[in-house]
Amino acid sequence: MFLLENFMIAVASLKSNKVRTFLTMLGIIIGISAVITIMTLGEIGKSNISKQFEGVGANKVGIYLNWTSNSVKKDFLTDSDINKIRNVFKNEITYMSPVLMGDMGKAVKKKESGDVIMMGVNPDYKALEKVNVIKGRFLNQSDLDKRRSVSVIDKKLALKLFKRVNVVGETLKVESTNLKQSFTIIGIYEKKPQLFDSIFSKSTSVYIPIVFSNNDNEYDQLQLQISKDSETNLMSKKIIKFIARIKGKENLYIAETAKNQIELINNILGTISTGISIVAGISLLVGGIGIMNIMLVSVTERTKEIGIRKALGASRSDIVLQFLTESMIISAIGGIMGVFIGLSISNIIAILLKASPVVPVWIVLIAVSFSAMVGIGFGIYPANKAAELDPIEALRYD
Amino acid sequence: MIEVKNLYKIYYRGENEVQALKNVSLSIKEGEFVAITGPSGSGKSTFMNILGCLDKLTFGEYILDGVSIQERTEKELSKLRNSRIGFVFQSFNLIPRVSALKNVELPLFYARKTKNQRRERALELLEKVGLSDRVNHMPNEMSGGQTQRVAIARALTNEPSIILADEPTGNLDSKSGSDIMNILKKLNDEGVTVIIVTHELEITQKCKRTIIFKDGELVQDKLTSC
Repeated sequence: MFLLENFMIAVASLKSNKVRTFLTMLGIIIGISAVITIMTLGEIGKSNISKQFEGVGANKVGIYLNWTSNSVKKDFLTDSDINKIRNVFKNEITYMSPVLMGDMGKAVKKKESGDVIMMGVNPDYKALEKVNVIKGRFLNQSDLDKRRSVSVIDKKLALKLFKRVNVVGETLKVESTNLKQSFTIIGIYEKKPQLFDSIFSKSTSVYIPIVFSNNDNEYDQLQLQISKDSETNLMSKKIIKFIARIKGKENLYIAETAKNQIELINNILGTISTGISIVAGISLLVGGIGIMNIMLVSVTERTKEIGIRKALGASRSDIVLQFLTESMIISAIGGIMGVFIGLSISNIIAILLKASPVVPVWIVLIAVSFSAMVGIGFGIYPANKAAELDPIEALRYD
Repeated sequence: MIEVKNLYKIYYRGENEVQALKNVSLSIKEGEFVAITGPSGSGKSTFMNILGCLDKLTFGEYILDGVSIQERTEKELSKLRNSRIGFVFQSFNLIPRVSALKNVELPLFYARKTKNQRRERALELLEKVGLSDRVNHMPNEMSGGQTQRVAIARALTNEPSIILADEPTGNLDSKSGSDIMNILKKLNDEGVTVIIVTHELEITQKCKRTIIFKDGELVQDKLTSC
C-alpha cells in the first residue's frame, strides 16, 4: 500500500519533468535495445544455422582436395578411385556422389534469363542433399551411362523462364564461358528458403549428369553420407587415410563434416555477439550514469522539499525510497521499452533474412533485471545524498 | 512537557566557535501560548529548531514528554516530528506542484495512514482553516494568507501537542497575519501548546508568555497579561 503510493508520487514527480525524464530514459532504452538486438540476433543465427544443418544431416561428409601450389592433375580423384572407396567402405557409406561445381552461367529463354550454377552430380546426390523433386524425376544411372543431356532445375528458374512450374520435357539453353549447351528438363525441385538466401544467391543450381561437366572424369570434391552418425568423424578420417594411400600422398584431401561447420559458425557468431554485447553494455552503463546525474540534479533542485518532508516526519528510509523509486521507474520503463524495441528490430532483421524469429526469454530476463540493477545501482547514491541532507540546511535552501 | 536544562548550541567554523545558545534553561507546560522573541541572531530560531527536533544541541539536556532527546534514534525523532510537533514556517514551505489537499495529507502519509483516512482528515482540517473551496488548488494559485492556512492545517494533521511557528506572519499583510494569529489562538484555546518565534511586538502581546533571547542567552521570561 505504502509502496504503491510511493510509486504514484514518484510517477507524478517524473511527469512534472516529462522531457527530462524521457531523455534520461533514452539512455537506458538505447542501451537495453542494443543489448537485446545483438543477443537476439546471435540466438536467431545459432538456432537457424543448427536447423539448416539438421536438414542436411550430421552424418554428411564433404571430401575436398586440399589445394596447394603443388597440386597436379593426377591428384584429382578418378572414377576408379571412387569405385575403390565405394568397395572398401561399402558398409559404412550409404550414399556418395562426386560433385563438380561448374562456372556461373546463364539459362536463356527468349528474352528471359536466369543465373545458374551447373552442378555435375550423380543419382546419389538426391539422397545426400535431400533434393525435393516436385515434378518429374532426378537424374538416374542410365542418364549417366548413356550420357543423356538432361537437367533438373529449380522451381524458381522454371517460373522465371517459363512462367510455370511443370516444364518437364522443355529445353534449357545454358551459356557459360566453358559451355554452351541445351539440356532437356527432366525434373523440377523446390528448395526450402534458407538463411541469407535473399542476400547471397540470386542464382539457382542446375543438376546435370556429372559426365557432362568434365570429360576427363576427374573430381576434386566428393559428398558422402556415413551410415552411422556416431562414426562420422572416425570414418571421415579413415577415408582420408585411404585416399592418401591410393594416391600416394599425405594430406591430399581434407574432410569437412556438418558438425565441424556448425561448431565453427557458432563459435564465430558467439564471439561476434559477445563483442558487440560488451559495447552495447557500455552504452547501458552510460545510460545508468545519465540516471545518476539527473537524480543528483533532482536532489539539489528539491533540497527544500526534502527539508520540508523531513520536518513533517519523513524518515531517512522514506526519502531514500522516494528517490530510489524514481530512478527505478526510469530504468524499468526504459528497460521494458528497450526490450520491446530490441526484440522488434532483431526479429524484423530475422524476417528480412528469411530466418525464423526468436524471443529468447532468458535474454529478456537478464536485460530487465540488469536495467533494474542499473536503476538501483545508480539511484542509490543520489537517494542517499537526499536522505542525508540536514533538515535545517535543506529548509534554508533556496 | 518541554524541559530544557543548561542547553548550549555551538557551531564550529574552522578554528572559531560560535555559541548560538548559552546555558538556556526553561520549561513549557502543556497548553501554554508562548512567544519567543529577540533581535536577529539572538538564537531564537536555533532554539526553536532544537525544540522541533530538527537540530541537535551541543551540551545540556532537552526532555520532551519525559524522555531525553539525546536518547532517541533518528527514526524516533522522525516519528516525533511527525506526530508530536506541527511546524508552521515563515515562507509557508508547502511542497510545490502538489495540491493543498495532498500537502495536508503528507504527514499522514508518513504515518502510514490509508488513503481514505488521510483524505477525510485533510478535508476536515482544510474546512477548519476555512479553505474548503481551495482543496485542489496548487500552492502558487493561492494567496499568502491562504497558503499559510494550508500550512497550519498540515501542521495539525497528526494532532500534535505542540505547534512550532517560526515567524508565521512575517510574509503576510496585517489582515492575513491577524487571521493566522486568531487561528493559532483558537488552537491554543483547544489545548494545543503553541510556541511562536517572532520579532513583532504586536504578536508577543497576544501570547500569554514571552521569552526574550539576546546573544544566545535567555534574558527575560515573563507572563503577559492578555
